[in-house]
Order: sequence, then C-alpha cells, then structure tokens
Amino acid sequence: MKKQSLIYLVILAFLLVSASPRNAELKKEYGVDFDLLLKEVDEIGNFETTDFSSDISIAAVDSEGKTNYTKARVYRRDREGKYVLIITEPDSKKGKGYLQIGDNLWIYDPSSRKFEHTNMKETIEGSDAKNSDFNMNSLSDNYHVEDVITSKLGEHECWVLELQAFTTDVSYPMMRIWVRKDLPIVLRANEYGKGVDETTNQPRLLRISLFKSYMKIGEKYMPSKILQVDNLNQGERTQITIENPSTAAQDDFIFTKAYLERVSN
Amino acid sequence: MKLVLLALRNLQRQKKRTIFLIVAIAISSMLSAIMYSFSGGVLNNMTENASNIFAGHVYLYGKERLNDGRIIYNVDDGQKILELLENSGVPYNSYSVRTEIMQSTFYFESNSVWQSIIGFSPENEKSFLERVPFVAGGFDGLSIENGIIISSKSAEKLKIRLNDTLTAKVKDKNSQFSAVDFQVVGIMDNIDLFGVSTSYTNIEYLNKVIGLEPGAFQSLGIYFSSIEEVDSKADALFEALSKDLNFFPRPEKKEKADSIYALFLPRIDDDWSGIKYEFETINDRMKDIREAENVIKIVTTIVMIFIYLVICVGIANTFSIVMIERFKEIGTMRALGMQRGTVSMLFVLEALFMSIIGVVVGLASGALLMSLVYLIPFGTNGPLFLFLKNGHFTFVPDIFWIGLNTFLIVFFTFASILGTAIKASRLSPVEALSSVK
Repeated sequence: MKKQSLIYLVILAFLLVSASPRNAELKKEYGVDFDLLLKEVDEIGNFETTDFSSDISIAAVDSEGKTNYTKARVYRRDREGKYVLIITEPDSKKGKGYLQIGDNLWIYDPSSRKFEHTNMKETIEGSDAKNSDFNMNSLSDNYHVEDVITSKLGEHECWVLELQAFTTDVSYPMMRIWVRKDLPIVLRANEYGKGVDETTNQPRLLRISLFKSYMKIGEKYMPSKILQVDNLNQGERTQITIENPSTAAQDDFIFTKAYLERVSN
Repeated sequence: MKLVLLALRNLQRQKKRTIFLIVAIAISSMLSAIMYSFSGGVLNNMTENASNIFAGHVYLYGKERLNDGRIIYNVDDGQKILELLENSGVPYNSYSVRTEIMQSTFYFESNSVWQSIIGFSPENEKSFLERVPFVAGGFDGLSIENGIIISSKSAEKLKIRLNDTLTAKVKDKNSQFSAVDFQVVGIMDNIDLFGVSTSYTNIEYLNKVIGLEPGAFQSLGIYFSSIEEVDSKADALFEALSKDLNFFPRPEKKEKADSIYALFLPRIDDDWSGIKYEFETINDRMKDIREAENVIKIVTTIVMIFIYLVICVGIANTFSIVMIERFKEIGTMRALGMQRGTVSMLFVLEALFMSIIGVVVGLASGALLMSLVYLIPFGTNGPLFLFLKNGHFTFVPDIFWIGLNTFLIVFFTFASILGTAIKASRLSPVEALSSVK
C-alpha cells in the first residue's frame, strides 16, 4: 500500500472515530441519528437495483447576462459505480462526453479523439454544474455532520446540517444542506470553500444550490429543477433541468470508451 | 578585360536608364534583406522575451499520476532536483522556481475574468522583472504577501484599480475550491502568450493557497548564457538528469509533432505511475513560431520573385531597345572580327554588372536603414515589447535567404537579357550595317 494511501486511511479512521461522538451528541440533543439521515439522503437519490438515464439541460448565465445552453444525456449504473454523460447540444460541443468506471473518470473530446483523466469536480461547459451534480449521491461517503439547526424553507420544516468533508474527493470541504424533516431530500445546499475569510473569520460561501422541484421515480426522488448561484458573483447562475428519467436497463456497451467514440461520430 | 571595360562603358552611355534599372534592382534587394533580417530579429527577440516570461531556457516539471488516474503537477522533492542540477556538471546562469494555478476565476464587484496564476520568487527572476512593462504599480508591491500583478486587459474587464482587492476562486492541489483575496499591486501591459492570461504573485502565498509546503515548487526553469547554446546544453543536462529522474520523451522525439498547447497537456493513457518529469526547451515551445517564420520567408521569396519578374520585363525591354540602338555598332564590331559569343558576352556582362551593383547598393541601403531603425527607441513598456530587444527592433541577417535572393536577382536579370544577347549575336554584319534604324 502506498504511503499516501496509508496516511489517508489513518486520517479517515481518525475522523470517523472523532465524528461519532459528535453524532452521538447531536442524537442526544435532537433524537435523530444524523449520520444515518445523511445515508438516507444518499439512498433516496441512488438507483442500486436499476439503471438510470435522463436528459439534462443546463442554462448558464454569465455576469454580463449572456446565456449559454448545453444539453446532455446521462446514464448511471450506480451499483457498479458507472456513469456516462454525453453532450448533445450545442453542435460545437456535441459528442463530448464523460465516462466514469469506479474511481476513474475520463473526458472524451471528439475533435482530438482523445480521452483524458478528469474528476467529478470539473465544471461542465463553463457552467457551475459539475459531473458530481448528476452522478449518484455520496454525501455520507465524504462528509460527516458537524452541527445541526432546524429551520423552515418555504413550507417545509428542515434540518440544516453542517457537513465537514473527511475526504478530499469533493469540491467543497464544507456544506450546509437543508434536508426536509418529513422526507430525506435536500432543498438547498450552501457550499463553502477551503479556509476562512480573513476579515470575518467565517468560511467563504462559494455556491448556493436550490433544489426547486423533485420528481418521484418509483421509491426514489430525483431533483428536476436546480438553480445554482455563484455566490462570489451573484450575476452568474446556472439553471439545470432534468427530464425524461428512466430506470430501464441500459446496454453494457454504453458504459465503455468505445461507446463515447462511436456516439460522437 | 577589354570586354569588361567595354561593358562598364556601355552602362555609362545612358546614365539615366542604367541608374533607373540599378535602383529597381537595389530596392528589391533592399526589401528582401530587410524582410528576412526583420523576421529573424523579431523571432530572436520573441524567443528571448518568452524565455523570461516562461522563466528559463529549459523547463523541468513533474507530473504525478494519482490513484484515480488524474495527473497533477508535482516535482516531489524540490531540493533533490536542485541538487541534481547543481551536480549535473552543466554550467548554467541561474534558475527560477514557480508554482501555478492554471484555472482560476477572478471576481471584483460584479465582474469576473478567467486567469492562470503564477507564483514566483522576484529575487530569482530579475531579467523577467526588467522586461515586464507596467501601466501602474510594479513588482515592489509583492512585498505584500497577497499582492498580485494582473494584466491591463484583466484590470479593464474587472474594472479594478491599483490597491483594490479582488477575490479569486481557485482549486487547491486536491481540486477543492477555495476563495482567496489578492491585493492588486501592479497592472502590466498585456504580455499574454498563446492567449493565456496570466497574473503573478508570491510563490509562498500561492503555495499556501494550493496546499503545498513552504519552499515547494511545481516547475524549475534554467537560464543559460544565450539562446544559441540552449539546444546543446539542454541535451547535456537531459542526459545528466536522466540518470536519476524518470523523464517523458523530449518533445522533438515524439512521433507526432504536437501543437504548442499540447505541450502543456498531460499525455493520455501513457503507461506510467508515480512521478514522471517533462523536459522542454524554449525552442520546443517556440517551434510553431519558428515554423511560421519559415513560412513567412517562403512567402516573402514568392512575393520577391513576382517583383523580380516585373523588373525583368523592364530590363528585357530596355536591352531590346539597347540592341536596336546599337545595330550599326554591333555590325561594325562583327565586321572587325568580333565573334558571336563575344557580342552575347558583352550584353551578359552589362546585365551582370548592373545586377551586382544593384544588389550591393540595395544591401548597403538595407543595412543603413536597419541601423537607423535600430536606433529608434520604441520603449520597453509598449505593446510591441515582445518583439523588441531593450526597446529596439533588431535585425538578424539570414545569409541563406539573402544569398538565395541575390542569386535570384542575378539569375532573373541574366534570364531577361538572354534572348536579346542571343539575338544580337546572331545579327549578320552586312544586315546590321545596312540597317537604317
């Protein structure tokens, strides 16, 4: 085992051990196991027994008010950790795609016909959207609950969970998520950058994601409209629409590099 | 010898006409010399200036393949690399170390701009500091820990002024986002190469932002005494360092010639793990521009050939008239025993002298003009700075191309009078003497 991996494991173990007492404290205070709640948030949006596919539309508005539209098709096979996103519009980007198999994520550029390793944290086509926004939920694999308050968002009573990342696999080391009390779905997520603002000594809010509506697919819930606001420049925002969800079984060939190459031709 | 003197004397018989043709040849010769020398000078200056922007004549940077397949820039043990450089036995002038964030977004009020940020040590990069043209502020401002130098284009887009504080959204070495503040301590003229807009800050501050240890760096640049010795010393250095470091093949040894942008991209699907090092020279990075220079020279030559053809028409017509004017003279010389070949040679010598005088006058005028242009100061802060050496245009004569053009001028002049010379030699003395022309 590599030395670096060993260090990560030790840190992970330490954080898990140190996280448990905090969860116990919160459980005692609120009567809820929030680590378990986080798992439920993940599970309600993940498709462990079926495949999942959908169409997504991304409308990214820049600070000058100019809107860039991107459409894509997403395929997921969560039980095998497989994910494919293929851009279908605009024509100039058509065929560009992402393929995840396990820990590896490749981006395919049809103009150069090359695959390049990338990560879930990369944004898609100049928008605020990331591949991680469309892939399976993995909050409980990367964050532990550091603090909780209750709040009301619209008509819904919510838990506001302050999450601290214990891995470096996520874009934001700290998040606050608003989780409905009656259903473990996220209505809002405030995502914070690393470090603190030197003047306020507070974590810096970078992105706000508002999950405006959800669609029910069997027993699962999938957001159908998400608004992402760049907090550093609030003129920049991204509207994501997820449509045509399906849990039909997909061909194995879809989750291959060859498929990305073929579909882009 | 008599024939030579006769040819020279004939050239003086119609002074205006001869001078006109010599001036035409001289101008074309001067233009070609200036154009070839100018492109050579500009390329050399661009290379030298780029070496300062890139911080070195030779660059070494490490790429680490992570467990998830991603590649990040990391030289691993910087001190070890510096020791290997010291013990390589290859003499060098100085070195510089840098850290870079290739993608970040700067925000100020409601404006944003995409940037790359380079962290460097001002004390290691004096020649770079001397060459950067400033609109406001300067490198002294980097005494402030989070000071940053941005381009005037970025400043304009952000609508930011000196001493304002901008916020940058950056990714650390694990690709996690953070927002950091930078105080603008300098606004420089645009020195962006290849369309990449770059800002400069203290390496130690950027290391902190990225999450690198103090004293760490991502790339090493090495300066030699001059551009001319880069290739030979780079070869020696590469050989010396290869004993201890695992290198990618050098760019010129790649099977496929990549574009300049491809040099900065990680190689895809190469079978390697851990840290591997890239080794490039300024000449590798300027390869595309050097190729463009050759294209410019070829196009220049084609244009010059068209100009020569126009001049040749003039010379051919003039010598036709000359032949008609000298009908009786040619007849007399032929009657006195001058051979046909000698008559042809006389015309050829006249054309040859005319073209040689024209070329010499043209090259001398070109040299004079280039010297005068060299004396004109264009300033070190202007938008032309990338093409200048200490604020001046310089000219590097390219002997091959200037020689080729000189040959072409002489050849075309010879070709243009060849028909007339042959025709003159074929005149029968009786016919010529009885001519009424």
